[in-house]
Amino acid sequence: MEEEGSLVQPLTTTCNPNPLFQFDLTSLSSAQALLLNPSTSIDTIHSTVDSLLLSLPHLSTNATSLSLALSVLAQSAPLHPSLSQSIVSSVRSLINGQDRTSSAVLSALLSIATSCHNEDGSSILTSILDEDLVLSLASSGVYKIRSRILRLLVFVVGRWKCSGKFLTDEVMVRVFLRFTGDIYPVLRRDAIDGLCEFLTVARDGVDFCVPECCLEHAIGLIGDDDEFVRVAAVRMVGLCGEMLGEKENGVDKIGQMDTIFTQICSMARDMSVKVRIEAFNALGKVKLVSDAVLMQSLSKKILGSKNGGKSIIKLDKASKPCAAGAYIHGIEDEFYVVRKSACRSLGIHAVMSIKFADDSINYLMDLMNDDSESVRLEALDSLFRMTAQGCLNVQEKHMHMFLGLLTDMSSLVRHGARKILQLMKLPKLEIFKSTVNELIANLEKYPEEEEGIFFSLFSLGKNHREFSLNVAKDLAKQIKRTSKGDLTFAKPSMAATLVVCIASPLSENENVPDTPVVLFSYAVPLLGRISRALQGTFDQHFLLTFLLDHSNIKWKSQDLMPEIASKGISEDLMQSVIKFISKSVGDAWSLIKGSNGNDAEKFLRSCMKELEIISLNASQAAITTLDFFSKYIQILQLISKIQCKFDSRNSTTFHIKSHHILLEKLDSALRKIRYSFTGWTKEVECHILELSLLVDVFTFSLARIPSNEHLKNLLSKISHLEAISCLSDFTKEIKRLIEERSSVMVNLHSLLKVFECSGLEFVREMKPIKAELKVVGDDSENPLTFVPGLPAGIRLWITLHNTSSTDRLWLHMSVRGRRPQYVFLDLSNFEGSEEVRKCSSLIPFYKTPKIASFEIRVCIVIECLSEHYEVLKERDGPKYDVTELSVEKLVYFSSVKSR
Amino acid sequence: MAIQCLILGAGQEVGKSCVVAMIGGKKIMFDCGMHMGFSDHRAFPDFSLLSSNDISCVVITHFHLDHIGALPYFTEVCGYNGPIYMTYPTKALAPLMLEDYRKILVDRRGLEEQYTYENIIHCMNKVIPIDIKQTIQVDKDLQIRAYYAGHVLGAAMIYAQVGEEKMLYTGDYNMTPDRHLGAAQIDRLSLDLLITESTYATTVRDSKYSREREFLKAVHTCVAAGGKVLIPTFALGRAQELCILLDDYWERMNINVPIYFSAGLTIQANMYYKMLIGWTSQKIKDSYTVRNPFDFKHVCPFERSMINLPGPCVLFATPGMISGGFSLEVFKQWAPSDKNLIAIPGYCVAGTIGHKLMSGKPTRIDLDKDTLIDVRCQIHQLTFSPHTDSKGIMDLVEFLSPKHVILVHGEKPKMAALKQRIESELGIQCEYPANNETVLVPTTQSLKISASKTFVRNCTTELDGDERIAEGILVMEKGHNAKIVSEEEFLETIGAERNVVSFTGWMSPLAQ
Repeated sequence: MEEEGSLVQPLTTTCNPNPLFQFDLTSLSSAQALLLNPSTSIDTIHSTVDSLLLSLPHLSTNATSLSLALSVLAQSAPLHPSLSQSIVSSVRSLINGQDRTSSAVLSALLSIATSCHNEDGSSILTSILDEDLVLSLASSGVYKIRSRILRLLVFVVGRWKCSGKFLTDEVMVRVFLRFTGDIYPVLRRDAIDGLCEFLTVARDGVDFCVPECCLEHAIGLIGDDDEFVRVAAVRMVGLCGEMLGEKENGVDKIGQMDTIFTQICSMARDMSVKVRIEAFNALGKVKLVSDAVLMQSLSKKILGSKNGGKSIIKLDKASKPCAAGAYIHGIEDEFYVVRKSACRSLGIHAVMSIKFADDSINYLMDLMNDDSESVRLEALDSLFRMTAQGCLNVQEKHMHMFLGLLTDMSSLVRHGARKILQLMKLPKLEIFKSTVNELIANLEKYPEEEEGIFFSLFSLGKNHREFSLNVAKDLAKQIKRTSKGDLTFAKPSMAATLVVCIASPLSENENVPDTPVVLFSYAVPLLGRISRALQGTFDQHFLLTFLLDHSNIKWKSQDLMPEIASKGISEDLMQSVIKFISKSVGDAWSLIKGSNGNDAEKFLRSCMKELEIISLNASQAAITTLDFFSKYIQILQLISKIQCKFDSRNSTTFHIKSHHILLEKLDSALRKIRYSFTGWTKEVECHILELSLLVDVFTFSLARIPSNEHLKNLLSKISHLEAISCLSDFTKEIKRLIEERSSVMVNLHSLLKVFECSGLEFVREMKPIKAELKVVGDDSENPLTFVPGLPAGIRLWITLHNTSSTDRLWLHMSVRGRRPQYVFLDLSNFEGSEEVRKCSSLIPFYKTPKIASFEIRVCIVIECLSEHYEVLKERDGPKYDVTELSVEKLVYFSSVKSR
Repeated sequence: MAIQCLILGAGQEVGKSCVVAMIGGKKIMFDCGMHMGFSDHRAFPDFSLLSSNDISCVVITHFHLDHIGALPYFTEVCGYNGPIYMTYPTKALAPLMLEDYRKILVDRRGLEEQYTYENIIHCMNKVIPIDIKQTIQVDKDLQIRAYYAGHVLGAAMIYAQVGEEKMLYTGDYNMTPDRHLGAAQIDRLSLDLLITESTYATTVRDSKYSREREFLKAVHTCVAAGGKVLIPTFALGRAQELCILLDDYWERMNINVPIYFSAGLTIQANMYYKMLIGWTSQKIKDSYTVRNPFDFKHVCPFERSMINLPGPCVLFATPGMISGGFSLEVFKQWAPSDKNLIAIPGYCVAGTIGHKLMSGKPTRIDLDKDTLIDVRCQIHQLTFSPHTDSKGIMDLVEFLSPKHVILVHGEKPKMAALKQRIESELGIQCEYPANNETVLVPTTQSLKISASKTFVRNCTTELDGDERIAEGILVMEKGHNAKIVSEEEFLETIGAERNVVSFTGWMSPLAQ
């Protein structure tokens, strides 16, 4: 504060009204420093400003010091808005002084006004300026004064509505118009900007003669030598055109608009890029232009009177040829910004005139070959608007270029093209087919866009009833021709074509009787994918009901009906979907049997995908079922792989090892499915058992000499099966072979042939057996501590679902490269019922290694009691095979010493 | 004052462009070309009409032979010793063109050469390179400046000014940009004279997009069906333009068919384009920051052994018009298959195979008495031209609004039509002189006049509203600057007194 005081001191002494006093630069700069420093106290600021203001009248003789003092004040005003009013009232008297003083005052005023909030700024100016003052300043011979008063006016006009006015509208416009003839280009430009601002702000309030008058001046200025003046003038012509188009003034509007349009067109060939951009922007604003002039802008040649050239001739001589080819020049421009702007206004006019639309489509389609992506997107946007307005008449010659966009590099362009296709009317069946094919190519190349592509296909089918019916019939024929095993509909192309076919029956209930029934049933397994694509258009439930209604699949409607109201996918609905999927999975068997390994795998993969999509919306209960199916499909995938290997082993080298690995995988997958669920029906249990029999058969045929143990195992399974239900052909056959002691391997093929997969029915009561593990107080950042060599405790939260008291559960803990440690989980220690059991316990890990840190993998496993007995090497571990029930967790340990 | 224009070549014809303009007492030669249609004395402009020492400077607009072909002859044989100006790319490419032509003339046709290789080198050494929009002070009075003209790499329009007299010589130019060159670019200059080319004085060309679309469709369909595409072009210009077009398309559509450049073409020509990026179009300049667009992604060099390899491909081969050399060799192999496509860009001279293919589809071509070529392939004709059309000429004339226009580099009847249009539509006087004619173009001259203080004072006091009218007397004395003075001052200087004559008239009210 002391320092502040000492700085203020010389200033306050200078307040002495001594006429001989000279304000020196040092004290001015100290004042400036004080005012700009954010930590200066309010009092100091006030006294500094006061002393500056007091000294102003004495400085009037010294213009340099005065303007410096004013600029210091102006700089400080934005930082201290409270002072604005006092500064303004003090400088008022100076405004009519010397030229330099007035210009300094004006610039100070401008900076104060711009720093204020909207209304304050202009009200400050209102308080100080009046008409006479403005007029005298505006006609000053000094450039600086003119430029500053003009900038003040431009500032004020932007806030015209919310402030008291010190000029009438008319005077304001007149001042601006006068400035448009100024000798300085900057002032001309500012004046036009001011007028534009005025017109925009006072849009509806002005009389039509104002824009007309502005227009006249602007047209006079579009030939200006200065680039920026031309830019501003063109913008104003556009704006006036827009306003005059909206106003009713009784004049021959079309003629007037034509004149404006041609005037702007004449600027399309300007050498300045900025002018050209502005010109095309302005063209888009001028509406109600006659067709003849519009057509002329698309042709470089002067159109004859036959095409309506009459109205052009009516225009004055200078503007006659100007419109010629303006748009052609625009879309051929070197600069993409100009092309983009031309494209946009072309689209605007195309929507309004059908004749123009027919011609401009040629150019818009040609722009699809432009090298700039943003131009292509703009053209697509224009085309889209035209399509939406129904004025797009595509011709065959355009389609090559347009359909090429569906395989374009840019996803935005592809999306844009599809958006247009959704609304497009195609004239011919061939074009329709090639469009569908291109969309399929799009799908094959970019499968991630499936949703969008399906939706486009759907809309396409919906909009072209006859064509899609034609495609549907072809597809049905194709399906008929193919054998049952050849399930080509796993291919994306088939799915895509199905979407086209069901579109029109689905959306309008038309074509239903004509559409082949088989297509509906083929579409059912694709329900998930289709309904995702049609989100927002059709509810999934409705879709399924519709497909089922029209397919030849038998189903009970009451299963579905009560669920219609509920959101999400109900379990019943899920059941029906899964029923169909399971049915289709059954078909996959025929592929496996028919040694179509690759096809089967592809098909199973697509089933898997379908399940994943459905499970996104599924309820908790449904997820269990879906989980079961995904596990089941994994098994089928393995079987298919093994089957392939067995087939190929005669011809190529036989890798016995890889078979064993696959069989091992299959075995554990089967184990997993058997011990991860509870509440089987007899059929499912039999089916799973038969599958494990199948595994045994495979193992059997691998081992040259089957061991007795294997045989015993087989027989025990068969007897187990016998106990549950009557034997299937497959089991009977195995039994027979074993009894006859003939080689199973020889009969592998015949065995497979009798294997049936029809028993897989949905189980309503199926529940998952699973466990959740939570390690307390451990993560990789904060590991648990241990003393190497001594046991370490792990605090675990364990939750078990659907375990019975007879189950034997173990905690499996392993350190990489060492034998695992098992800890038996005594279910009596758990709380809760059979459905959910919970327990928190401290589990010891005995064999801590003698290293600084390590990690243990922990998971809960279940002993598979019905599996064949096998003594494990661990003395304290499970006696049977195990399968995991929980996700593996990592527990981190670090030695006490290393802490 | 006047600008005196002597048309030494390209008057009412296309070829040997050469205009000598005397402006403000300085003689400038614009272009110094040769006529490709003649091999006798008519090939060069008639230099005997001028004395080479009078010429202040020679300015060359671009490297085409009809604009530069006679330069070594003029400097080395006629003995011109003054400065020669041309843009950097023209200086780089001109010696190649000149030497190439000299070789063809001497080695192939066995004609006598007009200048030697040494002449070319010596001539090029005298050249002073200029940049676009760089103002060169040739001597105390004469200023020249180059403006971008499009047309070919390094083409320029030349602006010349002596004192208040200003003129522009356009050379060849293009008002629409293509894939690799921009459109002509010029400032608003208040010109006394504009000398413009008028190759397409009556043609109005349609949008280039449709031509590009047709071309791409034809090529794409051909390669998609496994065919081969041959595009015979000259090394510079069209080849790069089409290649950029195809390379972009290939990239966008993910096409994997190779595009080949026959060996000679790639290395040298593309190298120049890569170096001279500043002279190409905006698009190329923009993408240059990421990668050089002349490093084509899908283009690979071609070898003779690859002609008969299976599979589709696109090949750019020299020379254009299939007038011989490698493109003819490939044509022989590929023409008999109906899967293949020959795309001919641009104009073909009569007598070449290219011309035969364009003027109706022949089924067989007799190369010589032993060689017959079955032509079953498809033919696609491309009409791309680097010259502006009549609309472009009119636009330029309108934009510049000069006081006079002289048309050169065109055909007489078409020039007449264009002259008619310029005079009627734009109200600008226009001429199209023949070779060796001289045209005098009057120019306005402005004088610096000093004003006396009294006059200025009078002006400010006599203001009357918006109208600013001041009266004074202009005094021009020999050896003195012109001066404007007020009435009183004038009387004072000549020592005269003011006499006022007044008279009264009488008119009878009955007089009819």
